[in-house]
Amino acid sequence: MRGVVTAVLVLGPLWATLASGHPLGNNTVNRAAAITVSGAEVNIAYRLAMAEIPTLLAMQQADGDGDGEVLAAQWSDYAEHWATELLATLQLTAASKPLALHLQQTRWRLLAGAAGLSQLLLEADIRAAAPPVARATLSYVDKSRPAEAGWREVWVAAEQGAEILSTQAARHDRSAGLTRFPASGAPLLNETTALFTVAFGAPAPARAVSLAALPPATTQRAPTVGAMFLLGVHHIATGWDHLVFLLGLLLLSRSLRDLLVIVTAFTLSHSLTLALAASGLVTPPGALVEPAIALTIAYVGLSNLYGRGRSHGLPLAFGFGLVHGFGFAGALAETLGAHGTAGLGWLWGLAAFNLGIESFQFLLLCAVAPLAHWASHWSHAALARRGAACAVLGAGLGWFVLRITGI
Amino acid sequence: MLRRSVLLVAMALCAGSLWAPFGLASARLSGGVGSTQAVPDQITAMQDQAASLLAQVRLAPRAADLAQAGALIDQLLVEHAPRAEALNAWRLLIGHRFDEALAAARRARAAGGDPLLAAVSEADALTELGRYDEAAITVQSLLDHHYGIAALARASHLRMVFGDLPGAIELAARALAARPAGVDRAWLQLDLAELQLLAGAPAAALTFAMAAVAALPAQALAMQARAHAALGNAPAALALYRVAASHSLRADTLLEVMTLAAELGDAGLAKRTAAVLDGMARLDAVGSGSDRRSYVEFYLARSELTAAETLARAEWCQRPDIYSAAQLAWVLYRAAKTREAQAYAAYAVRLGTPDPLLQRRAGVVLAAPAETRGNTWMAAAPGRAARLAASMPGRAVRP
Repeated sequence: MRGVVTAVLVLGPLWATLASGHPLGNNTVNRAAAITVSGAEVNIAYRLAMAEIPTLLAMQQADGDGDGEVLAAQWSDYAEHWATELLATLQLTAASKPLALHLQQTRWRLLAGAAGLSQLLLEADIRAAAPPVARATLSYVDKSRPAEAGWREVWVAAEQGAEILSTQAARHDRSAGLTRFPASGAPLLNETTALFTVAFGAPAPARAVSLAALPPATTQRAPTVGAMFLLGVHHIATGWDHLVFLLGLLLLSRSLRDLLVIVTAFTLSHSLTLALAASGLVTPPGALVEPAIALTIAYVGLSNLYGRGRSHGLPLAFGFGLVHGFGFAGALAETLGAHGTAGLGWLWGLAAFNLGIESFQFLLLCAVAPLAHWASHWSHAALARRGAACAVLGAGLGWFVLRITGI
Repeated sequence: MLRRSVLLVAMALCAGSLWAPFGLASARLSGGVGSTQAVPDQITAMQDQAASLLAQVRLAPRAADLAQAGALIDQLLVEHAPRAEALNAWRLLIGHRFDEALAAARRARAAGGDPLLAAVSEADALTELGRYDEAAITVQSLLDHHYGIAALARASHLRMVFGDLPGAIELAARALAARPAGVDRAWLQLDLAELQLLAGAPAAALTFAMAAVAALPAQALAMQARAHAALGNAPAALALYRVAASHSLRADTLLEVMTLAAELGDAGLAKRTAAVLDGMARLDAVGSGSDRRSYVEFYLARSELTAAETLARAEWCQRPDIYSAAQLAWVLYRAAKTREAQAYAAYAVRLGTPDPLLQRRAGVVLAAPAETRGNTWMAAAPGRAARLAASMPGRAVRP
């Protein structure tokens, strides 16, 4: 009621999203088309920059499998689809005859936006053969995404073998490739057309322009190996369920050798599933993995309580490690996917993340194992062990209930 | 103090002071404005452009338009332009800086540059700040000196706040009968739709909302969806909300999409919408916080009580009206802080505002027993609290 009433007439506070973020507003979709004419071809370097909210919506479309994460391959598919749609909405004519447009290349990047969100940058390199005449008037019309608010810029330039004789279109870039906009308060550009007369076969005049020549946007840096290592450390250090599981394994082992074997089995198995899940080869549903992890903890607690797990500690650690690996994969895939990391970078990221987990695990065991060994000589050691096993069991069951009920 | 305020306002309402001076005021409507003739044309043009941009922002919120208007207003303030302070108050209201807006509006009223805009700004700022008794006095002054649809719309809202729903409907209908055009008419139709919903007449609300579609599609479609939801047609409501969201991506609309999609079993849509809302909430948190109420509901729906409480408290600090109080009370109740919740709930219902959600939530909070270890645990269980809320009848509780 308040929103409507106070907006009546003369003035009114509006309940609109005017949060900070993109300089033109976090709901804008901005685009720039640099049209370059040469003696042989017309090149359109098209750049589309989405602010944070349109990027969120684009993520929904790009996430074809609906798992909530957009991998690099999915972004590439999205960019290809966008470019194909764009091609259908661009018109380039010479003397009123349409020129066939050909898509040469498509690129995408995710840039750092406000509030930890991303901004999507799409680029398409489009070409058409120059008309076989000495002189022609070219018309460019962009009919794409008409309803979206934002900066719309078109400019023309000539390079080797062509000269622009006349045009009302701009001759230079005014937003540095959509990276710098006029000071706050200036009106937005709204250019969707350009009309220009070109002499083909003319001597080399103006500077060459292509998409690559546009100033690069501030790319969000892919996470370094060091950052991924720290992410792994952070993930295990704040993952209480994994830590409690480790404690359970520690209680199961009867000697240092036992402990090393069990923890190594756990490490190998969770590394395996971590790699499988992070690469997208296996996508276990999160709704199952998390309760399953809780059950593994409860089982380890129960095994300790009744002393039955000691005989099969190795297979138990290996089997349950497979489940825990899927849990680790969530954070890794989110980070690598958000940056579009692929190939060798992905492999390094995976290795560093896993190394972070293992290092923290190792340090923890180094600290706790001597304590456990020392405590085993207590007169009440058996009671303490049972108490710890009960705590592990209780924690596992508690997590299971919380995760099943979604509380 | 609160009782005294309520009494004063109630006395004013009983005496019909919001009604009595219509005839006199309308005769005086043409007076008072026009002092801008003495200033250079450039200043006048800048003032008009700033007002036009702010009006544009009202329809389609764009940061660039608001920034452009802000730059103009800053320059007008430097130039001591006649309407500068009134426009500044408007700008501050848009940014939800209600305290500053009130001060600017009062400076504008003292300067006399744009008396209608200044008075309306003051009334709106006071209303948003929950100072309803003072707002009633300002609206009365608006009716006395600037009788028209702006004054009537605000009087209608205050009537509703003070519990007189039939009176509110009558005033809004009277404003609509003055035949405003275009967007102004559509806003009034949406006001009436809202009032009809509050009065339990969703069919009438639907009619008003449909009439406003051409001028204000996103808002009118969302209102139609609300009416359909009130009529029990959830699938139609969801479809309309989705169309409304395609016109304008508003947090309140998306929240309804998320809730209805979950209710109707479309988990995928609910999840996708939640992801967008989550991002928008983070943006809102680093921005003006103008959609904070919607995000409180969003976090409540996800049982993220700490986030909800943080936002609800921030909203209360910025906009201490009865709606913020009711929302904060509900959040605190869900967080098992019953005693504190009851203080806010009592504040929220003290005027007898006939808002079903406000009344229902406050009723539940006020009826809850004092905090014990047992009921603290129960109240903290989100599913249990939600079921309790849904099953409790609406109840108006006056202190």
